[in-house]
Amino acid sequence: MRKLALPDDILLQIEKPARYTGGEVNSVMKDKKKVEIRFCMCFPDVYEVGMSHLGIQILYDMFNKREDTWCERVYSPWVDLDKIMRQKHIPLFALESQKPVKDFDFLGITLQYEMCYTNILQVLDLAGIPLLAKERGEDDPIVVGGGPCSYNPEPIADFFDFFYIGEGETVYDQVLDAYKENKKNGKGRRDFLAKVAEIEGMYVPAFYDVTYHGDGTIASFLPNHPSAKPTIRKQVEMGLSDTFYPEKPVVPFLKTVQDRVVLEIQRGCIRGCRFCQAGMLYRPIRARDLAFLKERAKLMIENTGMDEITLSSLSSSDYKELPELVYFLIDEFKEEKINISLPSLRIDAFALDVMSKVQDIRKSSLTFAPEAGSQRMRNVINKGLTEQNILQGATDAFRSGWNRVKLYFMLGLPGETQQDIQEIAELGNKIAECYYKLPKEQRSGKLEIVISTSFFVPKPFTPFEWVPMNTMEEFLQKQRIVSARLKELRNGRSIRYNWHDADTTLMEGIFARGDRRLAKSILDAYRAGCIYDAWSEYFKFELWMEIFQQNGVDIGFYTTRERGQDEIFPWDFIDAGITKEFLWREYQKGLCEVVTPNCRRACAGCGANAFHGGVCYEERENYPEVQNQGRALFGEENPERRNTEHKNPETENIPKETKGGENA
Amino acid sequence: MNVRVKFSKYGFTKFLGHLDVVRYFQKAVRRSGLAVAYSIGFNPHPLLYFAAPLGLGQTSDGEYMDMELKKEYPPEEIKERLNSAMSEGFYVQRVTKLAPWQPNQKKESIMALTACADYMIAVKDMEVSGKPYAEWFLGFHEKFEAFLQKAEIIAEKESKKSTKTVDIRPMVFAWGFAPEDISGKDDQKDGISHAQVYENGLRVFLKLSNGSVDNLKPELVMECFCKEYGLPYQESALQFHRMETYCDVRLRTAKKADGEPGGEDNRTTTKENQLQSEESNRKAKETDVKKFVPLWKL
Repeated sequence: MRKLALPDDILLQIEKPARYTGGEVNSVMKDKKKVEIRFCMCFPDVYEVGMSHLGIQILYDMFNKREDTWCERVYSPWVDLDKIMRQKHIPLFALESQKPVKDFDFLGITLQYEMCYTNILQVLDLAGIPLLAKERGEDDPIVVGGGPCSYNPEPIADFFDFFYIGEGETVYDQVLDAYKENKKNGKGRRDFLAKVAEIEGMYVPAFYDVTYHGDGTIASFLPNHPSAKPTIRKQVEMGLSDTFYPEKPVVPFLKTVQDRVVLEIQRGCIRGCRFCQAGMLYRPIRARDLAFLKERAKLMIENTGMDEITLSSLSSSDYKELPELVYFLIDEFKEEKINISLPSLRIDAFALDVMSKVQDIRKSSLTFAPEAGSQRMRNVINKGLTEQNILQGATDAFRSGWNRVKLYFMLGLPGETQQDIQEIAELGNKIAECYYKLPKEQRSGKLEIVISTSFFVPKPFTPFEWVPMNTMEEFLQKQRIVSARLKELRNGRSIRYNWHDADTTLMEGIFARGDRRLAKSILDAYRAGCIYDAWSEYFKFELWMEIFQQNGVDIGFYTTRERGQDEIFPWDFIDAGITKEFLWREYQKGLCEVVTPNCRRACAGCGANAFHGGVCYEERENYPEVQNQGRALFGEENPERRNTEHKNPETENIPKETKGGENA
Repeated sequence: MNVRVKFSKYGFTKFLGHLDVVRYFQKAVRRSGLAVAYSIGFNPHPLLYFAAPLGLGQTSDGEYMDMELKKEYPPEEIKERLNSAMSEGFYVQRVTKLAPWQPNQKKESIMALTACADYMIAVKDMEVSGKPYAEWFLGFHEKFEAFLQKAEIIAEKESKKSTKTVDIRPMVFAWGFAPEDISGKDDQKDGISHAQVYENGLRVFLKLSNGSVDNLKPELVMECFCKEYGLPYQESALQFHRMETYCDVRLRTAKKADGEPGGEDNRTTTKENQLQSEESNRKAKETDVKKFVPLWKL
């Protein structure tokens, strides 16, 4: 019978003890004496958030396929248990074996959003692992980071032994084999890291030195170790239909944020929105085979007993065989009453037909992500969605019975004028007009429109990586413009307006384009009591500001400063496929309001063809650009995109005003 | 076909709340491949009906769930298929076939059928207020006997809205220090097969009123006992284990006669008759525990 790390009296005094007991269906148990490598995979947030992440499920399955390796999981203990563990000196343990994380060979931490940085330190600290990589000894696990934030790992570089840059399916085997070999030869930690540095895509921060100019910008970023390469090439899995994908995902007992089977239909995006980091980082777009997807969908449903499956991708409508896949799923799962959820679907005849079959129209809402209010601004950001697309889509959907619309916008985009901002409110108003123009008998119920704005954070590896971010005052001023304009409009009063918290945005802005000098502040903030910064109720903004000040951090340097074309960025050592020349070109085109066609239409020469596959090598004929411009969405926005914006009202304790990851 | 499933919940799954157990079974039933019936509407869910919820931290060998299936299966096959879909901490003990509901009948709710439950309460090998908890219970048998000999035991019973003062003594139907003190041998076959054993060996058995009308939690009995003798009461240092859940046969017979669910349709009984039968039931409850039948035997 399972023996638990925590005694009954502790488990019974904390919230949701099942966060810590493991033993879920399809979790993997092995004999720790019979494996050579113990890998602990961590999502540094609470269980219900961490368990919703597909990437960990893929890697967990992949590692456990190796007979010599046992991969387990750990998540951040919630604040109640955190306190008890510190008081009673209970070391952090992995869910499966319930044994201390400190005894593992590896601790792998996924970096999904900047606001989790202090939680990384919480995990290390509770595990009893020195926070700084340079202070770790031979008995400590090797701490490795991966995921979106590792594309600029510099602010947290001091806490990691190495980063895996890119998609996990490719070279982890090499890493683990090198580890075994190193151990067999009786060699130590530093020898292993030297071996790792030779594997493509692996970044060992300790093997690089950074020098700075007098103005604070980087003068040089150079290897100090013979094994370290000057540039690190991101890893890309080019054979997505012939690689690891779990057949038996772990089934949580608790209700998690993403409580369903996730079927990733493709990786990457052809759209080239200039603000979107994911759209740039995961180039080129690669689709999984239809047959592969059909088979996995069936297996995963059978093996989990889940009652819902969601298709995951940055833009589902760009999956060429989508209708065939969706009608197959509807047909296949009719008997078992499996719910099919289709985020990021463009509104067309197919979508309207499918949605009426798989969703309760009365309960579901229509989501558009125009991102900017004016056509001018949408050209700047290369968001192909036109006002006509939106209004036509909304009208069609209203006719089919929908009456709830959500609209997502960003404030603080480059070159934004007062007029651009006012048009956000006006677009909402026009959508309302579309509804009231319909004859009464064609409308159903009361119209509900919700406008949400977030503040734009420029991200590395996007055409806007040079762009100054707005100040807090500018952000708040812009928010007031939207509110004020809404009040003036005829239908404005019936439109609900939500906005994001500017404090969190500022933090994201600092870390997104930050450098190594920020590590000290993160460490100090953690020591001063900051954890769960992604949760508004625990986020201590004033404390953070105080700490930045004490450490002489000039916030404007990281956020509102305009960067020069030739500036060396902290993340420039990463070769993400897309070239800096392409990004600059796109930035300039954006400022001139010139649109770049999507990858299927014409090649923009981003550099991702260096990976020898995907859309770069497809024939480019007759792709119907006009009907396929942009995206209007049904249902919830793709959770991968707004990954920490937890909107599930049924899940308790999910932060209301958090966000991170990519700027969508 | 309608079946009644009896299952155990033990080990680490005692930390799962009732709603998580419901969700677990919805998924397990799907994994088993049994043709379960679904509710109608846009969010259909498998038709599963659970008896009295178990408190967080408690284990059980007497949990029940009724299930509607679209096909006929031999009960043994259902049991096997469910167990093949179970993970550690859950085990299906029995599956019995229920009589089909007549078209003009209301479904007999398993929740409403539940009348009483057997519990074993064991003292954990844990320290409380500076010494092993078992040591606080010196002379436990005599003290507990004296405690339950009292004519009434007044307790503060908390409900969602208010706290009431009630006499809980009539809701304790039987008690003792061995399983046979509270129920017949045949009724406790499964009773403590998954209960955790503690070195100190201190335990007590209680047969308590359970269900939607008079529900007495074993925690409350133990708390009153500790209060009576000035002992520290720590819920997490006691292991509550439900052994069996029962239906009151007389109550059921009475309901049948009333044309209520479960029996033949007969709606001619007068209100007076109803009152009388309720009265006799109440009396019977206090005196005779033999009329309680494990839910699986129905």
